[in-house]
Amino acid sequence: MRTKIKELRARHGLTQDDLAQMVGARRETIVFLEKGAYNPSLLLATKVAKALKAGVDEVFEFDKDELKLEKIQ
Amino acid sequence: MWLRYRCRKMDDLKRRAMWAFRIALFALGIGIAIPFFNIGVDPAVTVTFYSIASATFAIGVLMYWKIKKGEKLVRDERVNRVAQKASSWSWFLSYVLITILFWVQYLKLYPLTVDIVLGVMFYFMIFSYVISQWYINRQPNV
Repeated sequence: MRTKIKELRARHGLTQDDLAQMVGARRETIVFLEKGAYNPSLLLATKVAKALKAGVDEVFEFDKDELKLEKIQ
Repeated sequence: MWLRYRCRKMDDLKRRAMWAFRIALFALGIGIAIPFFNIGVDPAVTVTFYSIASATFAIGVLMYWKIKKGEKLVRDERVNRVAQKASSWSWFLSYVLITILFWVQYLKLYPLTVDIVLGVMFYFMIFSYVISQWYINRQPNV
């Protein structure tokens, strides 16, 4: 998973602390999110996207393999 | 109303750290007072108060260290996930320790008493939780 949080945050002039306060998370969580090292809940992902005025799929990007669906029998 | 709730929420960590230090000081005070006034209580009670004081002091230091790092909130979803995993790990490690203590007693490797076992478990459960929490918190994708 990759994220554009850092880029979008800089575009809106927000610090990690600002974003953390906006979405009700800890700054440490934002650090992990920016690194792509934490899979957030749907609620947190939506809040982050809303705070950055972007869509969830724009903020969080996955590799094709990660989004690959299994075939049902 | 919302702003007041928000401010209270942001001060949570600092408030909790202060309360942890107050409780530690209070427990330490009682621990010191009991033998000082010679009330005639079992020495184990004094040790219990010292244990409470040391455990809450450790929690307070941990919170204070987080405040120094710039944290304001006590909990969010990642912290909850870390706490859940740390609890599971701590439970499992305690279970392993109990098994080891059982075999130590069974094979008569060391003369264990109830006091020793309870003392070891008391500290082990706290420290295994804190160490698990610290380790899991450093891991990506909790």
